[in-house]
Amino acid sequence: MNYRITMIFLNLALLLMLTTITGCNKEETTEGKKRSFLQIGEFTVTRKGPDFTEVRDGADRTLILIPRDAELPQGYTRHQIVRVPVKRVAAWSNFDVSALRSLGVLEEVLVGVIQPEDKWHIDEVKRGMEAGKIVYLGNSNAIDFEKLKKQQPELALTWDRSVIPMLNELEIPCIITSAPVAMCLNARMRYVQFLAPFFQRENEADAFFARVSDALKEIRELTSYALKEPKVMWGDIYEKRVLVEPGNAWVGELVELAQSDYLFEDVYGTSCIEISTERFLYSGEDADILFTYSSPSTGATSKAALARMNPLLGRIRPLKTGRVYAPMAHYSQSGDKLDEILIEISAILHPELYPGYELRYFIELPDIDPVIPGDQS
Amino acid sequence: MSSGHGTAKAAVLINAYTWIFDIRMMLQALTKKIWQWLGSIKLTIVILLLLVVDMVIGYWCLDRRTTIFQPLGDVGLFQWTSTYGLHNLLFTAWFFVLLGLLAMLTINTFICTTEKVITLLSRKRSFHLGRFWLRLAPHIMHYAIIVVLAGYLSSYMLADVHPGQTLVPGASLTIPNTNIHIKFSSYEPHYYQGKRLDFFHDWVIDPGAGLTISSSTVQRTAILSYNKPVRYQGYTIILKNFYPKKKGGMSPRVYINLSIRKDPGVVFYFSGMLLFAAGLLIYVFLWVYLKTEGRR
Amino acid sequence: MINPQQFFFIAATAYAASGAAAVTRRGRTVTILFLLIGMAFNSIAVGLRYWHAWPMMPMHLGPLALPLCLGIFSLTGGLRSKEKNNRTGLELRLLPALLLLSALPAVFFPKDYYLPFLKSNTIFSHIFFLFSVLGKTCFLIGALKAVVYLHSRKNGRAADQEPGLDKTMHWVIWGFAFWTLSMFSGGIWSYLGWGTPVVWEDAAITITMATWFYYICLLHLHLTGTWNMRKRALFTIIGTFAILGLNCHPDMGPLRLPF
Repeated sequence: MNYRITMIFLNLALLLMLTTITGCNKEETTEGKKRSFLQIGEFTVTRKGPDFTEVRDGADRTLILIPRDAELPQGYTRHQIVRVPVKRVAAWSNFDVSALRSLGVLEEVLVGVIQPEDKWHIDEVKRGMEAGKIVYLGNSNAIDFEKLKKQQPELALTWDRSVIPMLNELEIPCIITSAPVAMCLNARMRYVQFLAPFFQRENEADAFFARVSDALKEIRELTSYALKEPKVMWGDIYEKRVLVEPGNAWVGELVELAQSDYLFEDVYGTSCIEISTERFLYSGEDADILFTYSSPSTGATSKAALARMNPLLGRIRPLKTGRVYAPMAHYSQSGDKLDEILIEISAILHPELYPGYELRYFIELPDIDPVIPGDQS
Repeated sequence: MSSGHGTAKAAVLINAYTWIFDIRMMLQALTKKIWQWLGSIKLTIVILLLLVVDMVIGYWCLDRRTTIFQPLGDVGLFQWTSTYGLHNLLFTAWFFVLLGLLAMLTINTFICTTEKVITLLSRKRSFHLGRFWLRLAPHIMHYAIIVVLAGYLSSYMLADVHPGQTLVPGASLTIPNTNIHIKFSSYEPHYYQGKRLDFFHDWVIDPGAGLTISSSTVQRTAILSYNKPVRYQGYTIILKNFYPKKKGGMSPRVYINLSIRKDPGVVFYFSGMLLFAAGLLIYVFLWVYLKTEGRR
Repeated sequence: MINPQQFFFIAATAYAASGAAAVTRRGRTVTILFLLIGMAFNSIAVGLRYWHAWPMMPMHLGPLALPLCLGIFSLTGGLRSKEKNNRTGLELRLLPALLLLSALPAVFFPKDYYLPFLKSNTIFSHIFFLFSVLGKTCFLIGALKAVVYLHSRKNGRAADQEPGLDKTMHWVIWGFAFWTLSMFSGGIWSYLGWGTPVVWEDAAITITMATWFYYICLLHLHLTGTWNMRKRALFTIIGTFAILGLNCHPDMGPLRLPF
């Protein structure tokens, strides 16, 4: 008897498990419910009411978005309140500036950056700096907080946690836009949806996501005809340290999705994660393609130049017989062209599927530096 | 006629009483059966096996999806369930099943153990002292498990958590809704000087962050580091991150990232662990001792 | 820098030789000699990993330390016995095989490329690691004893009354004690380092708990005599290999050929 009851309980428990597991599929398709809570990697947006949205940033801090004319809600400190739509923004990273561009608010809201004018490749930023609307606030080690205060930003987008106390003192709300775990492909595509409620530009964020999703679909379809799977590594050696993009990072996921073999697929953690030199070299014996963090402006002008900078790198296959790609200077400021970047990476992995494709964000490094006529050095 | 009526009435009443009595007896028997079933060892085995299966499923769901579960410690069980939990049901269902199974295990353990402890105590005199404790030790562990689980549950439901608090040297913060001020008063990191971890040379091995904590009554200073939290008036201050990580690094800017928690569950789950360890040690010691004695 | 992996590869080869000697019945001395050579190189590999990481905990060292721990327990336990009977003979043949089996994940799937992390700089992380390896070792030896017990039963030399399964349970109880202390030590480390009862950053926590529940289940089956000895012995063997196999998974990297 007892045994029978036990078996009934066992069946019920299994049924419960199955019901909960199948129930989740319904949740995924219930758009209304899904919208009330949005998780993008470590960032979240929770709509608690028509005029009340709670967000969680990359440093586990909670902020509240309320309309510009709303009364201050109880139970929150001043630094946690952001009045929306935000009209003036200071942004630390290229990534955030390009996200503002994706939302179509860059020219309207950006008032401060931490790179001088000559480092910018985005026309709107150049124009804004020329006109004096956008101000260079000093580099990340020496932010001119007086200048920042004068610009009267209503929000600061920063990766630098050390500025939080100072921004609190200046009563400038800020969000930390970097997170401890590397952004996966989905989070990378949806990041603009995290920023959208600050500017009430949800439709633009959805359109951006749809555009990148279409690009991804195209890549998936096209690369399904690929005849071989190139082996790819993304990282670099700096003196005694080896930094790579882990398998959970968007680039790792993209490479895998594009019918290629990402050699650090098993590595999990933060973007630019440090691993042992032995592992890097072991994977390097098999690799066909290396994406380096270094750019031509930091000395990565050819494979030989890379090997000179880091002799250990010279041992890996991409530098001997494979291909090496470096990002162009404007790559890090082109986050709003994510769809194009994804297609370009796919074209690099499978050049046979993209005949006549011209690279726009990466440069293939030649074996040796080109000899410039008249250059005596 | 009236006496016939009376007899019929009495018969109906007797019948009704009998039914009520029968129903009461049946209910009592059923309650007893349910009680016995809830405390049965077979149920224990089934729950334990289901727990194993569920946790193995949990491993595959959790692997590389830690961002779903990490906020659980900060936002609490209720809020987590209504947001992360329900939004990612495909990967969190195992966790809800786990909660159900642990609740069942707690009931099962409580009933089974209580019945056995009552029996054991009533027959205490018939046992040799060593044997008595050997038999009691598993029950100590059983009760300890209940205390640990209660501690975990209250930790996830009642903790007052303030994550993501950043301080730079000289700056201070006030714990919300209290008059406790925390000031980052000094920074004296220890650097790794060995040659064994070549790349680690001159990297911070122990970030000694000096805090001055004060309230209306007491002020004290403490050194905060990784794995060395500071406790003050029921609050635990934990160092989550710090910068710079290296001597003479790129940025001279110093900051520490704190998580501040007031967690009523800690006392319970550590008491439970202590009780379990005590029960385990008593069991293992007496088991070895009595075995050796038996051989002699 | 000397690569500990190379030493471990030599150790695994010696374990294989020891296993071959045991299977071909070359004698106890040859088997133990190879075993000792394997353990010596295994110790160097473990020692080097620890030496490089100290005072932090080396990452994913478990598969490297398990064969060494098994070897030590075997030598101080069953293999030391001079008594020649079928039981010890079978154990002598199976132990090197078990050692080799436990060494395979670290030989072909090493996960030695993560650098030690600062939060592991506490005594509790080391206790957590040490006791978990001791626990796994005891569970494996317990399973081995169950195999020997079943073999004896099959040959009609053991009945249900024979204390054969007691030896299994002896190791299982020790394993459970170590595993529990490892978990509690992990709990203290979790509180000190993160302030929370469970650190969800590591998915392996679920496998650790699954293992704990599995052995609670086994102990209950044994102490209450719910199943007969044969079933319990089978449950011990199948469960141990399944659950410890799963425990290996978080410590395994991609296939990397050692030669």
